[in-house]
Amino acid sequence: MRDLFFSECRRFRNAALMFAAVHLVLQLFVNRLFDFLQLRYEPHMIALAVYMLAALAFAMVQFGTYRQSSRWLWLLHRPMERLAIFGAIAAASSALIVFAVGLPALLTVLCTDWLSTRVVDARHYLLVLELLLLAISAWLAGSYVILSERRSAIVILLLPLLLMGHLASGYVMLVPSVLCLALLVWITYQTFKPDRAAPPSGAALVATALPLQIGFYFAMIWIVSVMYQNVQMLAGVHPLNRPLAPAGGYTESTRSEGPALFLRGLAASNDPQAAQWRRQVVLTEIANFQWSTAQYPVRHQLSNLASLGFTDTAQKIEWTFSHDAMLFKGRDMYTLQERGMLGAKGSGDSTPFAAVPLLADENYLMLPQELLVRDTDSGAMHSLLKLRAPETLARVPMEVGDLWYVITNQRLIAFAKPAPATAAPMLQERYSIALPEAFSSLDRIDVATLLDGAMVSFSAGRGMNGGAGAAHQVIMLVDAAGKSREVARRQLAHDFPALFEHHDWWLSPVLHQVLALPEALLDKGYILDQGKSRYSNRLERSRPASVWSAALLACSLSALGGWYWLRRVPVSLARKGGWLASCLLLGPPALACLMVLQARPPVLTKSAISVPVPAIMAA
Amino acid sequence: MLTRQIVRSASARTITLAIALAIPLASGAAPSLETRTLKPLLARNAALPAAPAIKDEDFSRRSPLSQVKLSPDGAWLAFLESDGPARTLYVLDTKTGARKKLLAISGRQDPSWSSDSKILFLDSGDALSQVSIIDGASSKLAAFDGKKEQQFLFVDPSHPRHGITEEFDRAAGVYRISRIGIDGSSQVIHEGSKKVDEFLIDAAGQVSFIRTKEADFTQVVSRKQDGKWIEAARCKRLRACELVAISPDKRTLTMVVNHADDRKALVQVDLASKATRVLHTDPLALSDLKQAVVAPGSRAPLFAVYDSPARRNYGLTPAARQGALDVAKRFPDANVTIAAGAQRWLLTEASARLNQDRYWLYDVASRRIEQVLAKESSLGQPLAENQLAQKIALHYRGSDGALLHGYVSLPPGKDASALPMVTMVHAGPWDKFDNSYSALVQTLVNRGYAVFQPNFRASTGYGDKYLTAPKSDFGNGRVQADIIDGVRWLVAKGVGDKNRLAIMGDSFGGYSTLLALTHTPDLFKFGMAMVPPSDFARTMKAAAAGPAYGDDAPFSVTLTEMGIDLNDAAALKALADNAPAAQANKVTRPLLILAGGKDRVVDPASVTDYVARLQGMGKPVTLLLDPDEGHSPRKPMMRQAYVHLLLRGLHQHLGGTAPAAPSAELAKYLEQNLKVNTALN
Repeated sequence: MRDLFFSECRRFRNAALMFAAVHLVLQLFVNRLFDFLQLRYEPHMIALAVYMLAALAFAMVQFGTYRQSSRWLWLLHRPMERLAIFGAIAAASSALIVFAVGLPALLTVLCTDWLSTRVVDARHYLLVLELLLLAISAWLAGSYVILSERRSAIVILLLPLLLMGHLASGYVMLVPSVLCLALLVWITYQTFKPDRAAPPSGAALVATALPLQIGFYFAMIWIVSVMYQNVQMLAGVHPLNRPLAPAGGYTESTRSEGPALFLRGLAASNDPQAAQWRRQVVLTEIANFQWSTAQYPVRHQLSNLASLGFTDTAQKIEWTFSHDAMLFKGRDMYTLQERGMLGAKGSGDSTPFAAVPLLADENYLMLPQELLVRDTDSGAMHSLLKLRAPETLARVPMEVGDLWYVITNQRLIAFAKPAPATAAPMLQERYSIALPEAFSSLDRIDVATLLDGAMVSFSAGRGMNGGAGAAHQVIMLVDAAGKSREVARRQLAHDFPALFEHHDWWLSPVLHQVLALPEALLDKGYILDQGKSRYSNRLERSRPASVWSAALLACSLSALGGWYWLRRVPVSLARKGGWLASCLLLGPPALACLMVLQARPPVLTKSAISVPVPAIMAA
Repeated sequence: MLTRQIVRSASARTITLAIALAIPLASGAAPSLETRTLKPLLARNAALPAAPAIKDEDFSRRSPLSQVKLSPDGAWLAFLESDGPARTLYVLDTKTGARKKLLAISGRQDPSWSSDSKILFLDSGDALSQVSIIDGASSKLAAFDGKKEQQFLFVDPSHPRHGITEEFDRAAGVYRISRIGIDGSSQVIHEGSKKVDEFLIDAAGQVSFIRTKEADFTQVVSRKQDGKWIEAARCKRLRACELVAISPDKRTLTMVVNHADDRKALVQVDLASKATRVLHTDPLALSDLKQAVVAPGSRAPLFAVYDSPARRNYGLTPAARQGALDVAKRFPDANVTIAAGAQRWLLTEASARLNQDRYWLYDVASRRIEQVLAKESSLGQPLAENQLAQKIALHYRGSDGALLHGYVSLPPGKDASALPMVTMVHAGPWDKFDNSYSALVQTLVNRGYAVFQPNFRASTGYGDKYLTAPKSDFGNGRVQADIIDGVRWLVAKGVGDKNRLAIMGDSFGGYSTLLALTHTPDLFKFGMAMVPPSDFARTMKAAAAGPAYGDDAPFSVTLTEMGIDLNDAAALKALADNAPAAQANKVTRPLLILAGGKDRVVDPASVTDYVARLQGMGKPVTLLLDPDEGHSPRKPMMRQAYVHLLLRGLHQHLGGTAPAAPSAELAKYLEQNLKVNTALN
């Protein structure tokens, strides 16, 4: 095993050396250009994709050469356990990945930490570890794909992305990462056998089937969505792809000008003043806004949801937030030396922030339960607003007339606009309105300032096209005393048929729920609806009867298809029963998985049967 | 030729008036100003040749000259000359007439002469520079931090080639006055915790008097004695309290104050006894003192200047008296601003009929007046004076017997009684019309309309008593009656066709327009209101509840000082009950309203609410609402729309001249911003 390990290392030694050298140079170059560790998650994702593709390509090349029958036999037919052979190759490959990918990355982080005044937190070391786990996962996935007899096995690549692509805490993310790695090791090991065409069995079959089913599930919902939408576009009836959106629907609501939206809402009002309002809203400038964020950064998350730094151009200081210290660390723009810290009370203060802040425009810092503003002259931090958990701040103040509007996951709050001379006191609430629809559904808020108050339109439907269910436009009238009452409510029509809106559910209700689990279990900083937990926010949605029917039909047809497929497959009754149960439970993705994993024996044609027997055999 | 004749006849009139005024002055009594008859004036105006049609945009054509400043020694004139967007700083030798180009500038740059007349300070608002008049070499002296309210104030009269700056670090509560030299050196000459509104520098260069505000906005003048500030005088809040000069012996202080709680006058305060002596007050017993002009070297008061009904300069020294008479004789119908130099004075001539200022030099020794910068002025293609209308000052009796003031402008060569007439109500209401050039008035007059501009009670410039006379009576009461009385008086005197009257105004003037169409719908055939409050009580309450800006008194204090008590429920109810918003059903005449979506004074919602109500009742109303404009529109396009829509409305409802077709740009603007239109074709 040791020899095989070193042999495999020697085999790719030069390639690994070259990769590591180029990687290190690139790392240093990129870090000279900008603080790569503090970038947003999008560039990190691109870098990650490059690493994964490299690992995937490595596996492809590595096992591509072994895959030829003679080499494969030569590899496996040695006096060693299959596990030892696989272990030696996997260990060697992992060592090469650690050397070529992990070591330069770690060196870069260490150099940044020790030799510069840039902020380096524990999460950045975790990022190196996570990077390694992902690269090795990609290698395993690549190995599985190349060793598998089936091209469709490529969907296995979705597994690491589904399990590991989350902006949760880096410590928490180690759990799904290790799980993913273990699963991939197991799956890949199952394909590492003399008869590569033979299907896996027992627990290995389950471990192989599940990611394949998930992969097929994604492929199917994508194909259904793309095909349906393309047909709609070709027919010129796609709601998002035609000049006029369907009347009364979410698309029309979200695209409407403020006055038109109010007119649509007020058309449903029986209030005696509705006619006057209808005349007035077309004359009035309508303020339109929505939430600033639906998600907060999570402490120790591996990448950044948003930029965590800003520049004080007057003082010439770059401030970068440290997740470890929970405050900003300053760096002189000229000398690059440390320039102190900026805590919850401003520059020079070391009070940690209660949560990782979200930097917003105009020197605002948003925390889930607090809004802070930074005085650019003094560097002091002033608290403008505090909320009591679980109420969560969702937007920075929006100025409309003499009021500042703030959205939380529970209310729209109007504050008196502070006088310019005052030193940012706590905002004084004028009134608030409970959100008439769930925050996760809230699409836009329109405010028409009236003579004695305001008219506020809440338009929902954000998740409507994805099966979030019914949504409304609700218009509230706020009087001069701040009391509000509903004056109009309009149900938004569905732009797409229910079967399309819920297609990701009825294709496989069980897989849909399983895949929503990471979102429900991992804290990714999403702002939750009032009274809802992460789990209930994601998993509890009502489905129309037609969608239930479609789900039942899809599962039944899958089971029928499974039975048809297995007719000629020589498998045990228990396995047959397991497959049929799987098709009935998981629907079409299980059927597709079945068709991949349980290949049917070729049908012998008459000509094949009447092949002449060679003379020597006949003799 | 015709121009010369008009000038001569006007001069003759003014001399007659001056002689007439001299007699009662000598006897100590103010003359009676009441306008008894307009017949001779109307006949003379009707006999003039009619003016040709002038394009709308020509009325707003600006002079290429600006910032014309005479050096303290009178030897140089500095001025900025524009050529398109480019501007150049020049100096002109007042003896030889030779001009010298100093430098090309961009943005705001206000020149000020150093006290030795050798260099020019250039203030851009955010920095101060100096320019040598020898070779135009310039250098930056200071950069100003807007957050610390740093700014250049004036040239230091006590130190040659020094300027005075101030700063107020509001957060730290530190106010500083500094002297800055042309080498960039700065010396703090006053520091305190209170912002100083005004101060005087003595001959030694020390800050010797300061004016500050108490917490209740009472104004306190303090003088420095033995290193301590001692109260020297006290003025009521929001009233005149201007520091003019200190006597050489430092025993008296000359100030401009509201004398006897009425008109602003020049007074001298004896610092020992605090006794006040009036140095000069309006001989006509009409006008507030506009300004006291001081000598450049000695800083002694030279002229007392009054603006109502027209600019009058009164000399306070024998030489100044002679000069003022010479100026009045030479410019009988003009508003002349005098800037005194050592040997020469710069005279800036303006009038209702001059769309661009003209510049003259008065030689103190020879008493000769010669025009300067004539060639440069002509580049601005000023409108011909004889094609524009003079403003005729009016003094009429209101229905309660009070003497009221105003102006009327008439198209030359027309029978005044047959003219459609527009009543233009000023904003404020604490503001006024004067007899200076107005592009809008001249546009209307050129289109054949008589324009009446009443200075109703509450107008400024006529003393405190006139200003505060209405108290809270801003509904369909005293103030509105002053305006309506003026219209009826004019019609009775033969001005305006009573069947072709319109009313218009901005802000308060717009409110008055709405009031007029609500309560006197038979009098006016059309109204145009710009940014009008539809309920004045509501607007006042909202403004009073708003924040104060900087160190200004909050609006609630202004209201109190104007005699308005927001706690007087009965008065406010009367206002609210008669408000146009409450009586929209009474409107029968077509109404044009212009408003800005970002108006912080008049809530745009009050305008849209009012218009929506009128719409609901089927009243003829047109609304132009520009979402980006505030209370004082700045877009040239909105100004064009203002004039175009006004002329359209007047043409349609008063039968006046049709306006020119709008340009493509204006047509597009109207299409975008005309939200309602049932009043105009």
